[in-house]
Amino acid sequence: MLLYFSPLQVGRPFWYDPAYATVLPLFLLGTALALARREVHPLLSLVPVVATLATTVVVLAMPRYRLPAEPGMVIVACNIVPDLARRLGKERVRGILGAIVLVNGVLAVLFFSP
Amino acid sequence: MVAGLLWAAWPAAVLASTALQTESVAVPVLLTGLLMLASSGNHHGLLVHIGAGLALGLAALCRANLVLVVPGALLWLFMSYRRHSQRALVAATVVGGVALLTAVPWLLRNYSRLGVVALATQREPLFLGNNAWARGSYDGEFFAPYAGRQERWLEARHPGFRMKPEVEKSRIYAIEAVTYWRESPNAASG
Repeated sequence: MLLYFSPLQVGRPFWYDPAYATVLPLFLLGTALALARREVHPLLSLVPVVATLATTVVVLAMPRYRLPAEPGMVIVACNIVPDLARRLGKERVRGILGAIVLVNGVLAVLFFSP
Repeated sequence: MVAGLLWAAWPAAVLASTALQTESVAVPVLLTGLLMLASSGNHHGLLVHIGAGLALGLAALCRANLVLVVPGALLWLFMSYRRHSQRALVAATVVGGVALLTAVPWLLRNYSRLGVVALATQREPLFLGNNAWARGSYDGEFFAPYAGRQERWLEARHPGFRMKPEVEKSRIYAIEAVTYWRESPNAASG
C-alpha cells in the first residue's frame, strides 16, 4: 500500500513524480471531506482507486497499475482547491499550494532522471 | 479545465508512454464510463447507462483488473440513487449487464480457443507478488532469460515449465501464488 501511494515512478533509476506528489495530498483531503459531508459524486473517483489498490495488494505494486485511477485523483484534487480557498482564504491557499509545488519541484529535480 | 490541462502534462503518462501499453487505451475508456455514470444523475436515460456499461466492459477488456471497477460503480449507483432504490436497481442492472455482455464474446473466444473462461491468462504478476522472493514490487530478475531464481524454482517443481503452453503456465503461477498465501499468510500480506 505504501508503494501504491509513493510518488516514485519505475525507471532506470527510479524517478520522483512531482505531479502525483502534489495531487495526492489534495486528493486525500478532498476524499476525506467528501466522506465527512456524505457527498456521493466525488466518491466515484474513489472507485478506480479502490480497484487498482486491491490489485496492488493482491498482486504487486507498480505505478503503472495505479495510472487508471490517477485522472480521478486529479479531478478530486482540483475540485478541492476552490473549496479550500473559500475556507482559508485565497492568499493562504496560494501559499500552501506554492510550498507543496516548490518542495515537490526541488525533490523532482534532485531525483528526476527519466 | 485545470484538471484536463494537468492530465495532459501528467509526467507518468507522458514520460512513461512507451512503458504504458494497455493503459493508454484503458484510461480514456474508463474515464468515459465514469463520466457517463457521473452525468447519469442529470440524465436518467437508458442510453447513458448502456454507454457507461459498455465503456466499463471495454475498460475491463483492456486491463482485466479494471473489472473490479464494475462492482464499485454499481455500489456508487446505489449510493447515488439512495432515495430511489428501484431506479438504482434498474440502473445497476443495465450497467452491470451491458458490462458483462461486452466481455462475453472475449470470454467465449477464450473458452473456445484456450479452454478457460477468463478475461486474461497472464498470472505472472500474481506469482511475482506472492512467492518466497516477493518484495512487494516488480522484480526485474524474474524475466532474466532462464536465469531467474524464481523461474528455476518453478522449473524444479514443474519439470518442463518453460515450454508449457500459456494456459498451463498461468495455472501453475496461480496455484503457486495461492499455495504461498496459504503456507505463509503473514509474509504474503506483509
